[in-house]
Amino acid sequence: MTPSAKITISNELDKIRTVQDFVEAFCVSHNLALDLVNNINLCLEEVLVNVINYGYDDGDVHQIDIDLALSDCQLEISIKDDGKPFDPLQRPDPDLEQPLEDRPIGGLGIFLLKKLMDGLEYDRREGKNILVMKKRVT
Amino acid sequence: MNITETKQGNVTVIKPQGRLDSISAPEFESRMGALIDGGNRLIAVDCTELPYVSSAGLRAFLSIAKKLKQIHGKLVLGALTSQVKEIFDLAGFSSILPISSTVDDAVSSCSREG
Repeated sequence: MTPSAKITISNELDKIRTVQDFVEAFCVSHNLALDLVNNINLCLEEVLVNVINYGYDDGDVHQIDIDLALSDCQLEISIKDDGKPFDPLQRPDPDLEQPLEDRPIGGLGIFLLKKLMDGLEYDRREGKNILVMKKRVT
Repeated sequence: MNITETKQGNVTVIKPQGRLDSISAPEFESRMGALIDGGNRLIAVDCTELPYVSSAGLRAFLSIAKKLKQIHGKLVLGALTSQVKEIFDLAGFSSILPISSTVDDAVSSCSREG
């Protein structure tokens, strides 16, 4: 049986920590390394900040679903939101060769996500963004 | 996030304790901005109790470094945790911000600036 877990939050920045605590507890209970948990939680913050800050125009409360599924070799995390269509994989990477004064202030979150995860898939289905992040755990 | 501040000679040593994320980064940045506006031009950051820095934290460091550069000041980070070092390396920050392996080295590197 594949261990799995699910948490739903509202679109508020301070709920990100709730998700991270939940994911940490799940990972620790399945003996995943803490470094790995730290990186997964960082990726979750990057995705959720984008959804919460830029996904909605209406000022209403929205639900964001986070699903975890652990197999022998990987942890799969799916993030589903009903915000504006946004495919983070289409964002261009920042130029890391630029000197300090030319470095733009933004664009790093998604880049970190691409670097830290082993696989990313985006889909838009039934009015929802679905981002699946995969991380090898062995 | 708890932020302590001490003086070593002409260098201001800042010690953020906790996570530098999308919640705490704006507070950290404005606190540092106030220090710079108050005349602190040489700033060393003691990162020993900083286990987590997300892109919001990276943006805060970048904006502080840019602000200091404009007034010929200097920002040096010391004693990064392994997790934070990994993020700095991935984001290419290790090559644009001075990083020392210890806090003492960060302070002396800061004060060497004329």
